Amino acid sequence: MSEYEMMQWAGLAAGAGVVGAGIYGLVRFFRKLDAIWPDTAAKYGLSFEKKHEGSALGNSTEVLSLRGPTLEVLSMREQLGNRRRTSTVVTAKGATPGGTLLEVSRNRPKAAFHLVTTGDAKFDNLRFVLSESKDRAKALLTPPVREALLRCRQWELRIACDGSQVMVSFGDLVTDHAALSGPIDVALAVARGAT
Amino acid sequence: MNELEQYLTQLGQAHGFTLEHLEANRQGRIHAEQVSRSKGRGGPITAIVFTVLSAVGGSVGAFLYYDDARKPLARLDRNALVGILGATVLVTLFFLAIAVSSVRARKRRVAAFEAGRVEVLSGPVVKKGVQGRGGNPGAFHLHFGDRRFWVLRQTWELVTHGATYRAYVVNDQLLSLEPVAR
Repeated sequence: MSEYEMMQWAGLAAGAGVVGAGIYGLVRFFRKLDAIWPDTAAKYGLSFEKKHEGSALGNSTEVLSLRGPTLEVLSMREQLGNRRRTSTVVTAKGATPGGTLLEVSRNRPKAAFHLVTTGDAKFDNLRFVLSESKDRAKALLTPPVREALLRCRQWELRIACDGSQVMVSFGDLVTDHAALSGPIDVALAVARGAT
Repeated sequence: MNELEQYLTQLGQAHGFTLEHLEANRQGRIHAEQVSRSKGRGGPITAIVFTVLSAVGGSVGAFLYYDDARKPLARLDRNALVGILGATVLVTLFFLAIAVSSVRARKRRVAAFEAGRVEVLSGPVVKKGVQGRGGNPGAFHLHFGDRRFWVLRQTWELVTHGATYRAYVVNDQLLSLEPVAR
């Protein structure tokens, strides 16, 4: 084999290596994504279910759910034409103060009128909570809830309490374990704190 | 200035109302400045200008083509002329339809503002927004029950989701809004 042929073979092998590494990386990434929901179900002792309707090229809806006696997570991904909509709601049972709604953001709000300050400087500088029922919101933001909120990666979360349950919702895609377990921990902390 | 007034000033700057306008709306009146703003002719004028431009542009184009072509007209030139004139009529009718609907909408708006009836909506606000991607503008809405109002992003960002607000509405247009203590 001439030196020229050897170089050609080496070039081909290097190309195959790069393509192989790319495919391996993609497979690993998608496997990791697929494992988030079953892993989280196992972590919290919930059952996992996945439903898919529609086609890959047209409109489609995918519903992922985790269910347990006191905790439920429902995530919906919809593809309608050129629009994509993602929403995830975590519901935990607990006697929470009804009619309380909190908007939690990592961005400082433009107006401070509904801003809730907890007195915990670290939390108040990193998470901004908006609510019209400031006293009820403060009562909900116990140290475990604040800690759970600080662990959350979402830029925006909504927490709603209707008296018998707490709902934590967000629109971001779940791309790692922390993105799903963070809001679950918040819902559990609020439900535990209120009971 | 107290906290509420400060917030109302911020909301007003974003949405285009003053504390004076808001006070008039609270009393069920429309402020004179709000009435005069409703008479803006920007939309109809733009649509009419586009209608005239498309009609004149297409006709001049067709005339220049005819002037340049060898007489008597060959079949190809005749077909091209029919194509140019047909496209001109279609585009002009399209802009004309927009102009007519824009003039009618303005007429309805002005009549509603002159009638001076302010509708008051009160309740928790639901914020819904779609962030624009790839150069597309976003769409930001505030929902009061089953009523939906399109607002600028600046206004949308100042409103707290789920909080109770009172909205003053004329002709499905959100004039002003304020938070209400529950």
